[in-house]
Amino acid sequence: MLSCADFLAEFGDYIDDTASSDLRAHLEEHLRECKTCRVIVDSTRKTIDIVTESGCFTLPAEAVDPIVTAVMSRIRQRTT
Amino acid sequence: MMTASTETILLSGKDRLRPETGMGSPVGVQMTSAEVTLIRRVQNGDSDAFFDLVRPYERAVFLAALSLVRNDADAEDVAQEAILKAFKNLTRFRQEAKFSTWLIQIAINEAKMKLRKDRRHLYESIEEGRLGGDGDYTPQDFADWREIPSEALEQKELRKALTKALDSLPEKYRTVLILRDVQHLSITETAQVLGLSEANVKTRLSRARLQMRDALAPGFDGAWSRGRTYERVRPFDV
Repeated sequence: MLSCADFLAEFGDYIDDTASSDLRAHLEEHLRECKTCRVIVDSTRKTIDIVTESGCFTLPAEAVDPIVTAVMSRIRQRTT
Repeated sequence: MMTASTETILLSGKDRLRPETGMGSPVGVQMTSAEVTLIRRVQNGDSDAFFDLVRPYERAVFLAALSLVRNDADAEDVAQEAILKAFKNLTRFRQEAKFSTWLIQIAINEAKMKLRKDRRHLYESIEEGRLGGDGDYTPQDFADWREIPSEALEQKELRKALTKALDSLPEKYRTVLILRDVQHLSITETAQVLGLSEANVKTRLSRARLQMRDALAPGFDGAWSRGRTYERVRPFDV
């Protein structure tokens, strides 16, 4: 059976659901026996949910609008 | 999946862009027809079309820059320079990558130049060395997290903790996490933008997620937790 270190080395593909079926079977065999790795998988998935769903990185329009507007102003100055 | 509004553009390696603004190996790329049209208009001299071309990606460019320079003012400067550079080099853009990927790569390169100029990366390199650099990352927290209620995602404490956790990551992990989990670039696109192998991106992404998890864990032991004991399991054995 895989060690925890072996599991951790491969668990990214497992989390992203891109592991091959053979690898997935080995990883799931380890997970059935290892509560620590089950906890890590679960809390890592929740971490990803937090990062993607918290909206912390949703910038208000007023924060980014000036960027393109300023660039367009510079472009127009160059082309006139 | 191809749709009526998309077209697949495959180009050969000889059409690669220069390293400072271009992409790595050629890949199959899907861009909207509208985007392809806008690119052609700009390439033919219609500079006003550039506004519509880049506007959907201004947030992505700003965030990519912010993941490296770490303050709003510098990120805005970098984003402006990156977008202007994209305009200047658009005639050389051969569509072997998505325009958004190409644009974000320019932003990443501009941000790295800014860091080099400011020499701030030297301090980060020292800090990364202290944290183990490219060595394996061993998880520090083994609590069984409770379910996260949706209202928790609205809490200011969580937002503050998330920002702090992200800020605590070494640059190379923070950038991969932002590109992959916030910007939702694919592994292939992230590798192209950063000039890394896909294997390297996967490794950095796993470590970034584990470090974010450890950085956020204390909140699930108290500040955000209500009514459930923080259940620890045995120490991790590696």
